[in-house]
Amino acid sequence: MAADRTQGATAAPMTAAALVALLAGAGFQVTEAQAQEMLAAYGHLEGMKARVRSGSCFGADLTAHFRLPG
Amino acid sequence: MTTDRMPRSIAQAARAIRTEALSPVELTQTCLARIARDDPRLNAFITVTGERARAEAHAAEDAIAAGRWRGPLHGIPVGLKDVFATKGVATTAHSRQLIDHVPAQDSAVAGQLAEAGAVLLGKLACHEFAFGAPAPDLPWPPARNPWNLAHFTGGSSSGVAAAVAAGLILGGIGSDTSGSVRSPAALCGIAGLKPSYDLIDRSGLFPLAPSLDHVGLMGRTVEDCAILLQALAPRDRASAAGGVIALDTDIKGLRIGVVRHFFRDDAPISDAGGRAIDAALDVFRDLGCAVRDVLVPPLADWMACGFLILLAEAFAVHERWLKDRPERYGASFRESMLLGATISSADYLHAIQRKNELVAAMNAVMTDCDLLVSAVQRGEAPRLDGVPKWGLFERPSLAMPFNLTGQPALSVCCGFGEHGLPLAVQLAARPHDEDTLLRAGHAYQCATTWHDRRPAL
Repeated sequence: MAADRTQGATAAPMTAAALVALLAGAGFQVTEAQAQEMLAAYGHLEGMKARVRSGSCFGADLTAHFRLPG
Repeated sequence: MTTDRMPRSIAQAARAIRTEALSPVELTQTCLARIARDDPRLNAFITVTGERARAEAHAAEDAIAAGRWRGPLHGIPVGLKDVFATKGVATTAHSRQLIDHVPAQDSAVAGQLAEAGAVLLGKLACHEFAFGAPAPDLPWPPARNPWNLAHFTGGSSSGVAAAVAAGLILGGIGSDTSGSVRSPAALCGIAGLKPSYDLIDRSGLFPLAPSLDHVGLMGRTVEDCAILLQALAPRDRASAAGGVIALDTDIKGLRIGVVRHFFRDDAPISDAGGRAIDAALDVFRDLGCAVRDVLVPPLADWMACGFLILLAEAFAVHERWLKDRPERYGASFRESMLLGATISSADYLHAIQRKNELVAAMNAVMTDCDLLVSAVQRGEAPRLDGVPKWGLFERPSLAMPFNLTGQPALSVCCGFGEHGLPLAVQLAARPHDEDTLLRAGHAYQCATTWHDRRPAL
């Protein structure tokens, strides 16, 4: 079930416009220039999310008994 | 008293004050004179509480003369990172968000220091809300390293570290969520202790990430950190021996595990930093300790897990202000916190689960070790203008593992690099075994003289 643990990691590189839209959806206003500045850090954050998911045993009990979607 | 007669440590000052060989009033005046002379270049202070300090020093002097000595902090000048609430004294967290904030009551730490008779000299600079890097768009400038004013102090308890190292205060209190006490202590050449999680009451501390936040203690010596700990920890929990930490006991036979892969492979430190840690290990061997390398999960795992938890929790703290008045933050902090909005609850839960696994792995290693040794920083302090804006995202923190485990950890100066700036070694013990940690740190300082060096301002 290793693939399940990486679900949610960004497949395509994030763009400034997409980050503006993502944050706007959560109620936060940033300019495209600000989002551009944030992209480098966003990439590191996505890497951390993937690393934690791939290393974590979260749901291990569940997957022993059920077939999870993904 | 001239500034040349400034005591070298809290312990030395306390002995002199108790026997009335040193006046708390004179000591306070000396510190205030040093602040007036040196702080315009150091930027360590946000608020200097001179009038209050003089009154507290007079009260201490009168009480001691009347035979009411309260303990080794009585009459000692100290400072607080400006994230601890102080009744009637501005508490800003180094942010425009709180620029006019004057708390109505003391934090637990401020209250305990007052109860111990310490003299509060002021509130000290940090990174905005104890996170990030030095920023040019905040209401106060970043603190500077007293060993070289063009260099970084480390953070986020930057002002306390600079002020202690420069001799403007004898000790101070910071907060440590991913090394914010140990890192500046390392780069400024002083001792920095992060006690066990929850050992010191955090009420009235502006939170960064509550599950990782620790109150931290800073002084020139490990003995000074022990004195501060005994004043701030519950009396029955400061030491397994019932509140009295017996520093001067033999450490022969202690088993030390060196997490060498952290600082050799995972986040390689400078050659000078590595040699300094090797030399420190030789000192511990000479003191009779058994030293061997150990393996724990890679630093990147600790960092990913800790940073996600930190950012998710910090975002929760700041969410309202990020929506209502984002312009009052510096750009660096605001942009960092907004990235917290991209962390899902599933990401956070995976991180919590991973934390539990990492802690279990560390506990397994600690069954055969009394202490761990690692690095705190990658080498000497970089230039202030060379600190990367996104450094916290880019570079694994060598301090973070012990925020996740809640173990007590200590940074101690173990040498100086080619640019004349301090180097440090990090020690960590089992949770709630501050006794062993402080005994080992004190024994190291008794066997070496690095902590005796002073910056020439």
